[in-house]
Amino acid sequence: MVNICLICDFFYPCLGGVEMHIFQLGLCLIERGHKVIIITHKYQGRSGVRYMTNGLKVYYCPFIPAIQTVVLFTYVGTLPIFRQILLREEIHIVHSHAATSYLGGELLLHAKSMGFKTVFTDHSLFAFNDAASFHVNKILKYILCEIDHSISVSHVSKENLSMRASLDPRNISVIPNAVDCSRFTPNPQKRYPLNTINIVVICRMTFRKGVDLLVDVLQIICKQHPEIYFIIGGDGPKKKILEETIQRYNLQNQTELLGSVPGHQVKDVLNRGHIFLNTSLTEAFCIAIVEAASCGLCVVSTNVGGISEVLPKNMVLYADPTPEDISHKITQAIPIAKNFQVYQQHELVKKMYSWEQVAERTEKVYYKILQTQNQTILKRFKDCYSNGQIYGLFLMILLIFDLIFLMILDFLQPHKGIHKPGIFNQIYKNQKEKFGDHLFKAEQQN
Amino acid sequence: MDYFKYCPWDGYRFSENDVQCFICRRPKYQLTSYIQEEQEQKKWEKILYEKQPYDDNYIDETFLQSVQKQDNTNNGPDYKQLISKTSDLIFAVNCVVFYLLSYFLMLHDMVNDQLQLYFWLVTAITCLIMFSVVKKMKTLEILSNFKSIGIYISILLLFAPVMQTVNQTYADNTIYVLTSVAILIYIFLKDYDYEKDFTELDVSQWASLVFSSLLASRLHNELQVFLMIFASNLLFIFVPILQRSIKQKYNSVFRVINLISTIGLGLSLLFFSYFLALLFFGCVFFITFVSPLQIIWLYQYKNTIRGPWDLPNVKQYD
Repeated sequence: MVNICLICDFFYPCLGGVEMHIFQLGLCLIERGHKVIIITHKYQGRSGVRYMTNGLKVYYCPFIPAIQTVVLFTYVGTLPIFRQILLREEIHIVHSHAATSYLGGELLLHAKSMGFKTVFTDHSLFAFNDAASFHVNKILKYILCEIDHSISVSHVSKENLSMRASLDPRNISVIPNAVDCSRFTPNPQKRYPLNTINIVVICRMTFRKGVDLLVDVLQIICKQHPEIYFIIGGDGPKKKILEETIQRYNLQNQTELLGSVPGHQVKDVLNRGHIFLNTSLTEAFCIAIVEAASCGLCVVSTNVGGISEVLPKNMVLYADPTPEDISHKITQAIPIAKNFQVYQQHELVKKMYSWEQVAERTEKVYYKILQTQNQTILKRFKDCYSNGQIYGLFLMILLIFDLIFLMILDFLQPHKGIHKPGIFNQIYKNQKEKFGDHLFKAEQQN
Repeated sequence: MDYFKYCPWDGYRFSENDVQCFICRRPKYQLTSYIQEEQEQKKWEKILYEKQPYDDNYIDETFLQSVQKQDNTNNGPDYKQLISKTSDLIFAVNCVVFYLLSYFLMLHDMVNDQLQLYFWLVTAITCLIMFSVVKKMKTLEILSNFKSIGIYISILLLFAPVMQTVNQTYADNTIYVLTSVAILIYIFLKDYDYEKDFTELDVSQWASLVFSSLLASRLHNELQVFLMIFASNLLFIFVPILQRSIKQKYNSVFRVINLISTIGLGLSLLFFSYFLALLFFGCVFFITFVSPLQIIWLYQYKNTIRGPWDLPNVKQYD
């Protein structure tokens, strides 16, 4: 049994790809017999320790998010609480998620100083030639220079991460995301309006999700195919542009804007459609198309980032990120969608991705790094210095501060004085229905 | 026919009579058949939907093949293209100089306040009409915009007395230093590529509001304060939106406006100071003709990495 600590700024009650990944991974690792805790910052009305399904313990620590649910990087501000938690829970491995989660990055550095093994999972792609990417990559390079192992969600993401953070690619494993296919089942009877070919689009209305492309595609497709009906869900800064386009070109009869779609209603919206359209300009993995494929939709997607690795070519029609090519592919998809084998596709997707597989592969990474020796302090100094002559010196000073602060904490709060928490009720695992847990189903491997 | 002398899987040494390995029970292969079996092993593919008989951290020979590095052996960007791109920066500088010129005239009571009021109102109406024409707005939308401007002007008139007194206690030197810093922030951080939506103000636009409120505190009456803040909102927040719309459709018109405004401003400055006019024309010349040469020289040191993670160039809507 391994005691694992998952860290991220992004967790429930926020609902997104990273949050679901952490939650599902945590649950599956618990099913495999490990102990899992999650550390995140407090949310409104949610602070302290909470227990979620299957005894998944979540520490909502009193760190205030500075901007967009991300905690400010203070370096030593989080150390006392973090040290207490890791020693209390007798953690072996600290696993951080997402490059933009600075809480995760900061705690990875502290975990290294405390002698724990560290793992990092990257969920996004970053470019190299804009101002935001410069800074994120520089900080990521520092945080990951001492990491034991990294995980990427796609092969393109692995290449991107190895170049951004100057990592040895042999220390990066590719473990894709997954989808809980039991929650995304096809139901062709729910397709409405009837007598139309329904195209579903569900995304955040931002630039990166290609809403500008969608605006042009709407005009072309609605003009060429009167039988098409667009069902568009999602909210964001670009939603107004869609509304204006629909009004300007009188597309109200062929489009439906749903606004923000709650997570539990996504399946119902997907089941209304024949075709799922994804116009993202960049994606490391794109869970949305897997969810759509699981619901039996024919998928049309831009061929960017790691999307081409996610589904086989007989399930997706890939298009260049231009309105003309996307429209051409939708035209090709229309006759296919009419006679689509929805249940067959669902079964295929079910075999392709499962959270159990993700947990099993992640477990292998954990066992592998537990067999390696800890780095010496001299090696750590060399790793810091490898970031540059001036920047490296600054990082070495930070490291010294970290170690001194840890020594002070060891003196003020000795390890022996930290009380160990109670173990989650073991009877639960044998009598889950009695405890009211019916929803989570760990997919058993055949 | 040559056979393996040792089992490739566990190193068991075959004797001459052995037909299979004693440990793993695999047959004693011929050398050529082993090579064939290796070739029959499934080739690694860059996919995620199938479990492959390789480790998760396996590195293939195709690793990083999708990366493209910038080829700096070419001559770099085109000089004429760079000159045309400097027009945005020149326009921003023109707006700042024009604003400062108006402020100077107002501060020293060189022009009648009423005349300035009519001038800025007519300018605002002209800009709004141009925007409506370029965007092909409907009558209702235009009337709605006029209504919004009317409300905005009334609110600004209400706040003018407050804005006059906010920074009054600061010394003149402090005001002018802070103004200079804010102007530099405006020019350096302005969104010249129009990547951001105009739904919220960015740092440069906030900087413009800062220096306009700082300068307004030195003026003599509330009407002048109102005019200065109105002018700054018009020149630094609304005019860039209009500029972008005009550039998208009528690029040559924008260039002509830019050229006329540059020459007009330079000649206006001649009335006040030859040095200022010379400095202005010198800056314009440096930005337009000398800076592109520097960029072309620096291009040889550029190290851009491109790959499938880059965002494609897509036409954006505001």
